Amino acid sequence: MSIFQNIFNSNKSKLLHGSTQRDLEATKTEFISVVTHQLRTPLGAMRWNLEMLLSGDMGNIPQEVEHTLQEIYESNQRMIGLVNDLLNVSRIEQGRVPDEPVPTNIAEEIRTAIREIEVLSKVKMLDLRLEIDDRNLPVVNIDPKRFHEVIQNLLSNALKYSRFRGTVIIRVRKDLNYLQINVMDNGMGIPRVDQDKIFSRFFRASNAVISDTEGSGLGLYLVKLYVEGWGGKVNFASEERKGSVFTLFLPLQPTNYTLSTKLATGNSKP
Amino acid sequence: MKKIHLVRENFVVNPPEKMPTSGQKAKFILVAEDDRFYANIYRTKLTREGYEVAVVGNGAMALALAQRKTPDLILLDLIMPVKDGFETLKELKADPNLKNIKVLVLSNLGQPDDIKRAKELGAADYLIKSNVSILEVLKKVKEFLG
Repeated sequence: MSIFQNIFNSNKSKLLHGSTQRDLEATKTEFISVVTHQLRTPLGAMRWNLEMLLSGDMGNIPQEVEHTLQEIYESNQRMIGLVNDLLNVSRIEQGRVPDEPVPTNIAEEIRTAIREIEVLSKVKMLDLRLEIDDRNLPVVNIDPKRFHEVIQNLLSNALKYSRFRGTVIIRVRKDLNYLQINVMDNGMGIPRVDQDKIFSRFFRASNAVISDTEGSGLGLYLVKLYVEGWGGKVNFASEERKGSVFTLFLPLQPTNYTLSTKLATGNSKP
Repeated sequence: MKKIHLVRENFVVNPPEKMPTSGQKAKFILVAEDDRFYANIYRTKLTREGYEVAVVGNGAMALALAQRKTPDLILLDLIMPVKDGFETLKELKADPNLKNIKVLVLSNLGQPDDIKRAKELGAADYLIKSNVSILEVLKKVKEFLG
């Protein structure tokens, strides 16, 4: 592809002769930016054309065709989401996602995330419970968007891998220096052989791949990156066919993950 | 579809498919977009909404057309041949006759640096094409054109 060749050629002498860490980072950033743009362009055009078809801009379409188009549209949305996830992972690893902490009502963020997945919960007829004592919870100085992503990823996994009429419990309590958030389900669990790889990029447990083909394998990786960036911890306990418990230990005064990621990678870019 | 040839063959102004009910003149939107799939979608959707639309494939053509026929709004892609969107935006904002035209950037570049740069150059707003629906684009256009 000529555009990739161009990036290589424009950075060739630097890459071949005495490249610095900064040169390599700049080339990597440019490469990711170009790849993302090139992937988004056809996906976006496909999206808009499908939206026009589905909204009847090209005339009425038979119900069966509409159903098929809807499925293509969903696949298209998944691919766009995957490209965005890849870009996010790359930007976080380079310390380029700004952490914007503001005083955040943790209970409210969790309730919002629950509301967003209620439809799926009803489809599976799950018993979805939130155990939280609002009176005892402090306001935490944290980036609400990133915290929302963390909770959304854990909840979405718990629901996705729950069995029909299963139970999902979210329990929040305050320790001395940490908020402890448990997300528990009695679903399919994680096979022992897969457990040490569960936070790796793109990794999906063998039973998850069979039951649900939609995951990107990036959700838990992102959860770990964010939470550890804030100076917290995430761990889990799981047994196949019995369920999983994911536990977040969120410091009451989180560190800035942009800075901590930069320190970890030695990246000095803004 | 009736086409009005303007300046030269590359510049085609597509008349609106429905006329404004108030009897006012249709608003003119200039679209700079080199990808033919997006270009077709803009042309179809915007003319149906009652706008007069011209789609050109690069920034140089957009500047040339804007000088001949002042648009009410410009939809600007960033990665284009001949003259890219950033350079086009810079030249638009440096031209006293064109600097007040609102420019909505629609690109699949989405790094914070790109968004910041476009806004600093004077873009009224910035949308990442793959991440918004065509209805959201129309809503933004209506917002700008009143």
